[in-house]
Amino acid sequence: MSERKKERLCNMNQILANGIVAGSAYALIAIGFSLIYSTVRFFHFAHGAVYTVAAYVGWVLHVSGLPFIFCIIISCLIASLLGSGIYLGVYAPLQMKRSPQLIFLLASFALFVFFSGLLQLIFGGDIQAYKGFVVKEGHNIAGALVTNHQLVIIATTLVVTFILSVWLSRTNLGRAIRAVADDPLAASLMGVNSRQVVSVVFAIGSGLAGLAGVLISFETNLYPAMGFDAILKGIVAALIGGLGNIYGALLGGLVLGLAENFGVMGISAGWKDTVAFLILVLFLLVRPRGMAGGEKSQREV
Amino acid sequence: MEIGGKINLSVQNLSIAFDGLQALTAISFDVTRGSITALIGSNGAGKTTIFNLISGFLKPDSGSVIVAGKNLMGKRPDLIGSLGVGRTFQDCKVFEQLSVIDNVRLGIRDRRSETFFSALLQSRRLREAEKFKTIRSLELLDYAGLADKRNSLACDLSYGQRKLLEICRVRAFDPQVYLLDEPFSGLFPDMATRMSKVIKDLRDNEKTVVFIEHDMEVVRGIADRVIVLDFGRLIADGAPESVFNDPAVLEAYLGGLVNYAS
Amino acid sequence: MEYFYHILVMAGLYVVITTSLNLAVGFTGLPAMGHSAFFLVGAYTSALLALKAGLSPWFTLFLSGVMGWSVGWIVGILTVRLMGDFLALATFSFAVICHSIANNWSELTRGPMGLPGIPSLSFWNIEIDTSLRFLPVVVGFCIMAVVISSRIVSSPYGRILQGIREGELVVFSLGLNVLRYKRQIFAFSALCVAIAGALYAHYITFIDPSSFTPMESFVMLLMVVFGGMGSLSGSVLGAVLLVVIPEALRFTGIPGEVAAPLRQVLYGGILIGLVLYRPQGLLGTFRWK
Repeated sequence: MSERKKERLCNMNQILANGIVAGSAYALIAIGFSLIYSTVRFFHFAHGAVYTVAAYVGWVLHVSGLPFIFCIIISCLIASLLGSGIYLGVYAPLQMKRSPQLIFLLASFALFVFFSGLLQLIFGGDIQAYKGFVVKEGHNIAGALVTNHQLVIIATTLVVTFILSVWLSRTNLGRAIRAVADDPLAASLMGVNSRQVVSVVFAIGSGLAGLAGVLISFETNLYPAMGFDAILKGIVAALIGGLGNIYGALLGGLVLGLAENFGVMGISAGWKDTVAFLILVLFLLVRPRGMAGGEKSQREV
Repeated sequence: MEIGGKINLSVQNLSIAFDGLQALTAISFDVTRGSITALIGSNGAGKTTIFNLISGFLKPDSGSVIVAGKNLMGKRPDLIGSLGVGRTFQDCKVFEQLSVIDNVRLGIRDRRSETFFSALLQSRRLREAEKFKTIRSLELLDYAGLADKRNSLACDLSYGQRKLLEICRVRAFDPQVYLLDEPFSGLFPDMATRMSKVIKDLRDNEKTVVFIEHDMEVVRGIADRVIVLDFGRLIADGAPESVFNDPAVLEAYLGGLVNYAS
Repeated sequence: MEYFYHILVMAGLYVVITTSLNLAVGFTGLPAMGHSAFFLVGAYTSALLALKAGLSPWFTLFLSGVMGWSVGWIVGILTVRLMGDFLALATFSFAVICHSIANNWSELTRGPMGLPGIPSLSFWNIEIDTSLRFLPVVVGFCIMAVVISSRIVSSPYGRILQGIREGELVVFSLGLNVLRYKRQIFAFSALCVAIAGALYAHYITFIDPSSFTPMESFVMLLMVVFGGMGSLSGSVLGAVLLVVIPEALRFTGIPGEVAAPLRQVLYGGILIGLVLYRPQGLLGTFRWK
């Protein structure tokens, strides 16, 4: 192979690798979001806030000397608590009052803004980074440089996806979750305590957001608005793959990551966001139900 | 069954399936002007689905619906409404945060006064149209016994009052065909009597009324004709007494017609 | 004193925004989460046309209105048939895209460096370049916005909009094309917000993408909800209060870096509180069932 061709292939492989890594990150966010959506049927925008809070918690713990693995565990726990707290404290009361959809959207958005602002007050607007680690070692896979941490992200996403979908289909709680997602009225008639189930869903989904927050911020650093970009990418990924569909979220994440990276080949990376959103708008218009058709198509009349 | 000019609503071979389940199979019936037809059948038999198909909220897999000579299939609900089909909903949809009289006013169609520019200009024409709407709405509310509630919010009404409000609204719309989805469910006797009167008056005014019902006494009381659905199939169609004695119908209801009030 | 007039001008601009946004959100029930996009479109259209084509600011003001309405119409066509959440997401995405374009398309917008030297409006050879002089202009537009909005609200058209909010399926069954009404009111609110944006551009005479972030949509919505969805006087009140109070807080000497996130915390907190305990805001009439 000529030198030029080799170089171009390496470049393509690098872009491919970058796309897969980014895609896995998006997928991790999307999975939690999608799961939550399937049970409450509105966009839990504050998922992004949970993500950011967990990232900062993890970072603080790390700075105070805790081993990384504990940072991750504690952050996830805190994320779970925060997420289910948000459900019980805000969404559930609104559900009880049978609020119109718009109210939930506003609440979700407001929560996000609130927590982002809070974090900025506490930590300031500067970018924070994980220090004290050796310059990230990497591997050269077919011409693409992939760091150990990036491989961890990819692996974690795959493992999480697999475990979660097995759990949802095999366990009682998993079945209860799917019942509530499918048909809340029927589920409650069959004795499923919707409130408990949804709290658990929020705990799990938010825990995943926390996991994503810590893992990703290790790689891409922390800033108060990071949840904004993260949740929007997560939503796009979830939509592409079909809301409520775990494997769809994985697929959607990968598609988004690849599309973003290949899409800005030749133009400045500043346009990445625009590419992501154009994809989103495209999907909303053409296939609101996503590729895997996660949502049951119902016409409520 | 009268044929020719008197048929106002003609349902032909309507079929639809959801998620692999055949909800309706080849439903056909004709309804004449100035009649009251009851549509009965157990829950899930497909009654509301037929209404949704006729009024355009669902598209059938096959078949068609003809109202006053026009084929409705594939048309948007608002176009179908304009062609003279009005309906009420199983869960009694009223405009909760609007006043009772506004609920009824919304039923009255007067295209010219309902555009953006007419709102900006607030011409005398608009004001006169509004006056007319108010008078007509009060008439209808009065007839239903709701006039004293005219400025209350719809969400403050009792269930029975909401059902009557829904009827007032559809009467304000003044279609040729009335599709009433369980107009009597949950009504106390006095309200039910009022509802009966309203429906009979519609028939006397040459309107086409099709209503979904579960209470056989009510059906016996006002229906000229009964159509029975069972698992998406039409199993009987005729005068009440003959339908109630039809062996297929009796079998579908497991050995006797159950008289259950909703 | 100049500062006082400045606050009034800003409040006035937001009145124009909130009254029209309320029509779409509070009266019709459309979760329009991306109106900062139209504010941006209006501002940049007017600024660019005035700067590059040398047109009179009054004319570019008019053109930015046309642009805002057209863009609003196109976005409306694409999005109003979407269900609640998706509509919110689509409009919000549009705001993100617009902001991104303003930031990245440097050849046109000079990106983050912004557009300086935007010509002010002028009236008979008098340059409208102070807050005091701009006040009558803003008040004029406020009055127009309020009058038009209240006419819409008190008409059969307005009743239909509210009907759409309360039950669009029913409105369909009553022979009305719900989608057309939604598109119209969405485009109209886009028009008003775009004009507000253009006014802003000719007032401040310098614009850059940082004033038009998607988060600004949130602030606009908060004003509408705070004042009261479905209440025009509420929109006026909400706009005034939520412009005046943060400015007043500035005098308490809160340092700059703290002011912005503090605003977020307060606004977010207020909205959460409103939504939980008083969704009708200050003057709205929403009642729990």
